[in-house]
Amino acid sequence: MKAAAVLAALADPTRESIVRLLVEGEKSVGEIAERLPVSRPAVSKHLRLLESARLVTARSEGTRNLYAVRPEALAALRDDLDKLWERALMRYALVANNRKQGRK
Amino acid sequence: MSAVREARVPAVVKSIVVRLRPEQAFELFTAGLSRWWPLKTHSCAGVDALRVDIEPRVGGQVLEQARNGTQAPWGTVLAWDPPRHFAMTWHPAAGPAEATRLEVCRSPPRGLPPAALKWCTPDGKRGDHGPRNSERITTRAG
Repeated sequence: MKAAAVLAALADPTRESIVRLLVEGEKSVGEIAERLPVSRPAVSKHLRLLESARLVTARSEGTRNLYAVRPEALAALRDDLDKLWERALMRYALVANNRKQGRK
Repeated sequence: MSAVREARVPAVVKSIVVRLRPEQAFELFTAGLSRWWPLKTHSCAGVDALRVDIEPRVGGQVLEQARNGTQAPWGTVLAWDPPRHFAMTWHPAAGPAEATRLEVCRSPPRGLPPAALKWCTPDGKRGDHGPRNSERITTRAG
């Protein structure tokens, strides 16, 4: 799974908030709508998009659907973060060591 | 919130040794952030990002400045204890597994002179790192 695809799906702040809530644990549309300033239909719409982007999965329990974050999506984001900091600290070290050399 | 997240997504911890005095290393990491952070690819304004300013105090703002004068908040300073410890909340346009907290700490590695610096950047709680990680340091700083 590509982190870029995950990030694109999360570009919307409401979708990002929804995913943050789901990281805490599986939730229904109603439970999500209660905690965000968004209507249930809007939550459903965002969830459908997140589902098609393969960020979340749905399962039905009785009359309601429960949504959860796919572990693969979280793993992709973490990989991306790992690479970013690897690169950032390499650049930090380059600037740090150049600065020192420049003074000698 | 972050505790639950950590249970699923372990913090990204990185460390590096640089040839700078502690004060210089701290200053470069914070005031000099724009000199090394990949702003073009990792900022709100992208290629138009100019710099990131960190207000040097607990509660201070971390603000990205763009060429056209717009500002984008990256977070708030949580710890400001130069040259030992810097922490901030971290929420530029980012996903949930992106860090919610950036910790930067210095731990003088055992057996190395105090000038040897170790910076670690976990996005988790304090205390996940420390002297025990210092053993991994192999580079000797002058």
